[in-house]
Amino acid sequence: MSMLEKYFADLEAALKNKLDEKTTARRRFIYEIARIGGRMFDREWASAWTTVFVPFEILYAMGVAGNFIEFVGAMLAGNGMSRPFFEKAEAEGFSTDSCSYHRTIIGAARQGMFPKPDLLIGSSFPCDGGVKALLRVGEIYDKPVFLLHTPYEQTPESLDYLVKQYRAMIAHITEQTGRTLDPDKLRRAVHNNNVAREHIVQALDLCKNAPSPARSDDWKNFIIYVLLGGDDAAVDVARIFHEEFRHKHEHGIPGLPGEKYRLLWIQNRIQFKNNLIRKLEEDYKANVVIDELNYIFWEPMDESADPLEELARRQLAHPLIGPVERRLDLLKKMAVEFGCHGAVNPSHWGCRQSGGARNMFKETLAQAGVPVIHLDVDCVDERNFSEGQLLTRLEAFMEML
Amino acid sequence: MHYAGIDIGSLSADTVIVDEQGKMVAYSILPTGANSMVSGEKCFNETLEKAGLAKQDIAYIVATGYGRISVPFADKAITEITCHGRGAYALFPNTRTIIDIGGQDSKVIKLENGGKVIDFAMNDKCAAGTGRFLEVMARAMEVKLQDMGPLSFQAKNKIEISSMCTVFAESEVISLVAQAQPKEDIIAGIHAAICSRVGGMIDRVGLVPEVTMTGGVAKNTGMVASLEKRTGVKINIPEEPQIAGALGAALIARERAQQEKE
Ligand code: SF4
Repeated sequence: MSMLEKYFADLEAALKNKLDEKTTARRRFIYEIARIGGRMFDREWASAWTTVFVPFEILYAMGVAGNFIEFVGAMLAGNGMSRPFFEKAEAEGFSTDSCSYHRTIIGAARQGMFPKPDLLIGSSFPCDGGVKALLRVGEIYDKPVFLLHTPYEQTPESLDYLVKQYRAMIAHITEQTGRTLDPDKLRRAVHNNNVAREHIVQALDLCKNAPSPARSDDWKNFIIYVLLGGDDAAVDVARIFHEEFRHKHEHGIPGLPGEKYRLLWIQNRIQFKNNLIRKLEEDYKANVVIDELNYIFWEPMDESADPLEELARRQLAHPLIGPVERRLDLLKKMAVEFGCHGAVNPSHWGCRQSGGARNMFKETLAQAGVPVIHLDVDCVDERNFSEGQLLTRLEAFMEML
Repeated sequence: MHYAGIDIGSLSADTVIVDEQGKMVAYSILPTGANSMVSGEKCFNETLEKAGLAKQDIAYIVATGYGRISVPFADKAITEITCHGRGAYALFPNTRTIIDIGGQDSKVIKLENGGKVIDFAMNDKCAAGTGRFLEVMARAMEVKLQDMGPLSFQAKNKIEISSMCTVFAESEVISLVAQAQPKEDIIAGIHAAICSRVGGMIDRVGLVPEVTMTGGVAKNTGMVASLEKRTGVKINIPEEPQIAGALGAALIARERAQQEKE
């Protein structure tokens, strides 16, 4: 059993025990993610390494367990396991200026940390770094990489183009693994997505109340929820989040007792262990009430229409593609809807997405009266982390608020 | 009653004591050394002695600076951003922008009318644009830190220092010295390099006059002149720019103590 396989097996078992003691939304969520992660080693499933935004529902309906590399990078960092992988990737010549989510993965693949995946599927957004990392992983494993090119505009032509690519992706998966698409399973995945979406929308709506029934880390990294890909478990997780926060709201139980400040977190969280959130909560009663990446930006899918078209429509609506105004408008909307007093932008090193737009975040949110602090932190590579310096920025920001 | 502010920076520990009216009665500056906890306490005791006061005469203590958490006897720790803002505002009430170049980091702070911090930018993780950068370059040229300012005014042809990184800039400066380039010209180039780094932060925050400079580097007249040229405005320099943070901390201590009484 490889180190990673053991990790997922142990995590699943430990979480199962905890869940038996008491079910919380967060526990159930992590448990399901661990279960999905474990599929990487289960021969009943074909395994795919992907980048973050690919249609996991299609993979799921083809019996493919997808894991996006940024998630694996985050997970390794969260467990303090990344350092040797960075060193390996850097020894190969990868620049320390590149996104560390990707650098970890290249190192991990080089070290033989993972079983050889059956498939590699990348998407042209949110960043080209992911595509390049996947291409390198493809070289390491001698596997072809299938790339989805998501068009910039939301037009009928773009939709058509993306659907064609989905079909090509399906053909590629069949060619590589012999697995075919189960149309019923796909329809069910789309249906599940709709049901889950509604629960999440309502759960997030509850968090618009002050105080929020959730605290900063309840929604941490919720983006990895996409890995559930329309599985029945996706509905369960969403429902439990909704129920938990509804219960807390109805009984006046705040996520963070004494909540005073409400924060919007832009893009991704800091993945390795650190004290910033604890400090925000304890010393300033500041609660991260919404993470940009958790926001539900798409409309419910039409279950009577072609599921591929519906999934493509969702993908085209993603705020991280197209003109940056799309993202800015949404950030402003979130800050207003959630009654945020301030926004934290980690401005992750090596990320052109967030680095390039940082001043626009500041200007846009200023229009809503919401100041932004840029942390300039590497969210994954803790070798670059100086907690004292970051705390000074964050504390000064809170003093300013 | 009296109130104290203790600012533990990377290079110096500064203490200011103010009275009920917020008037400074004494201050001390000591090198931080290896143990910031010891130097903080030593500096505080020295200031008490200068003021002719005892510990029990101090009603409230605010610690600031990177070593703010190593002052166990402080009532509250507040960041140097807020404290420099408060200190500079007390010294020059029309201050809207503060440029603080300290030993380990540099920052630009924007104040609104009334002295409240409304924005700031910080340069850290890297010594470029800080007092440390200046110190390393002074050493490379075997020039005393306090002579850098006056010497820079004698420059005839400022030499461009192309590296921002302290390590690379140091070797660049050493090569220039080896080429027998006039020290004055090199120093003017060094000031310009820091100025360009800090200038980026000023632009990010947006310069609003009046501008006040705090931190040890404000004592370097050449650096100040360089920044004035870059910004096009006259910069206020406190008599003792190093204690602005400690002064702000002491004034906040006074306000806090009064708030708590109410
Ligand atoms: S942090 Fe930026 S560069 Fe890294 S994976 Fe995300 S979008 Fe890409």
